[in-house]
Amino acid sequence: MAIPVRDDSPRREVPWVVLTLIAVNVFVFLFLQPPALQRGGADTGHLTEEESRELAEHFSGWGAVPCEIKVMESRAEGARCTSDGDHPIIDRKPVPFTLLTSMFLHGGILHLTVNMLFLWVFGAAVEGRLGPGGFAVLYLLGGVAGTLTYVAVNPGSAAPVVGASGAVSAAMGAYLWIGPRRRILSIVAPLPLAGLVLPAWALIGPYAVSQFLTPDDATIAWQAHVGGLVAGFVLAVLFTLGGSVAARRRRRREAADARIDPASWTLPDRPPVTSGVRPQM
Amino acid sequence: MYFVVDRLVPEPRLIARLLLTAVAVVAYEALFCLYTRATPGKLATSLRVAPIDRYEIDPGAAIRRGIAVAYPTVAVLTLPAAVGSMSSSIGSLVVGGFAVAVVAGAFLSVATAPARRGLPDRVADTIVVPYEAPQVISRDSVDGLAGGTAAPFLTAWGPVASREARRQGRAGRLDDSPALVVLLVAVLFAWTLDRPAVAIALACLWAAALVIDEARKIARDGGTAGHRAAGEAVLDEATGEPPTFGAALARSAVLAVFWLFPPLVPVLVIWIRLSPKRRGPHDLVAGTIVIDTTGGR
Repeated sequence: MAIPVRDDSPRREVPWVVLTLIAVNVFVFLFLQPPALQRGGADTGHLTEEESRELAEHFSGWGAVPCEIKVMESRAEGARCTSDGDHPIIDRKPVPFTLLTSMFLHGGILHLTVNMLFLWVFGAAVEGRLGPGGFAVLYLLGGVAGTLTYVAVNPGSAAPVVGASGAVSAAMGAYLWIGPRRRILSIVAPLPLAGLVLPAWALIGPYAVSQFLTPDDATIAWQAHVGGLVAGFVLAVLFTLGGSVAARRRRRREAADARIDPASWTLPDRPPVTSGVRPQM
Repeated sequence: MYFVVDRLVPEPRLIARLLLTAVAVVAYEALFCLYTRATPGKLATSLRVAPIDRYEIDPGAAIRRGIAVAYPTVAVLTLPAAVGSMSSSIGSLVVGGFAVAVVAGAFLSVATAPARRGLPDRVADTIVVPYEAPQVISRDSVDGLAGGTAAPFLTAWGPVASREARRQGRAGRLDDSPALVVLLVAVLFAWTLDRPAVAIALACLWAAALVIDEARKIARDGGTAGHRAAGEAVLDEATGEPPTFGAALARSAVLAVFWLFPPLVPVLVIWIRLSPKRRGPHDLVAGTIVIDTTGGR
């Protein structure tokens, strides 16, 4: 297990979208989700009966339940799940909406902390590269793609999925495309090291592979992680390729239009400096 | 402040209340610093918060100062409860220890700092002065209070490398050692696959490989890729040449003792900081010194 702490990407702007997402997630966890979560009861397994019932209703009400997502309607209106288990049924639930709300819920302090740490380390650099709008789209689409992947694998399950993990995995997938060789200061658990600087691929690669080794009885929706990771990578490729093709075409057009002034040549090996065109190094 | 928070958030949301308290402390410190140039407590004892080299404190600096003040304030608020529950579980022990460390660190940072500029002052680049002090506090006068900033120690082979260069050097340590990175990935995998015995064996192998690799590169080139990228060279203090393999091996091995046992790392950091030539125990054992090769660039 390696815990990333920070990366060495240059910060040109404040990553407002990442900061806002972290603030929203923390606010939802602390002020809107049941108070039993922030007392650490869910992390250590010490919950009273009333608290467990409140939590189960909360997660079934706002989390993404695969068998409801599959038919896009609430179970109380006649749809059946193959494995209902003991999950409560919530009346008149806005099912499509839960795809979005489940991304902002967390199942415990540890869950929230890990997700927000990964979002801060990997998300800030991705936002710097794709821009605030691009990152916001990537985050939301990645989270939805993660949930849908989980639904596709377990269509009959009645267990709700919560967590920003899919969306955070999307940021990690995008990072793998944007800067696989950027350096990330991380704490590597088996070695009693204070801190070690690793390339991003050495962190994200093992993370991706280890998802397939997660035991099935664990309460981790690893399919959502894989879905988010792949979606993030693909979206980042699309965003950067589209952007760079358009920018290259525009630069070529501007360069063709611009008149070259011989006096502006500075050195024989430098391109001419023309207004509006960035010199290519 | 707690009176207000108590009414905003109902009883069981403890962490939410702590967060609101912290936000209230940040707002209190930042707004008073911005608009009255001091918090009421400082005004009552005729002190004020002065930014260095400028007349008015800017909002960003005021907020940074507020955040640096909020950490120890929240730690003080939680201290009785955190210390009281320390014996109940490992988690509470860690939390209690952390609260004590934050509070003690905050007081020590003010008590031991030059010109009593504690962490909030250094973060926001301010200083607390008597109210009737000059309007603009110049950096020279602050440095004068602090005893001046020392120029880098000049050895026969060049100036001693700065702390920033050392940080860069550590960051680039694994740049030309892909084999070490791959071996580390293997360690991570063994851990993920729940094979602690294999993971620990591989980790020992990794530590040995790192020590030997570092010694070989320092003896050959006078530094690893990280040292070169940061413009540093590890040289024998007596000759000005890269150290012999034996000396470099001793140096790396002593360094490994420190990073293999993280509680010792602060000892290493303080040792290097107190040493005028920034030589830690590893340098003393090997008779080496880390110098700056950039020529002041």
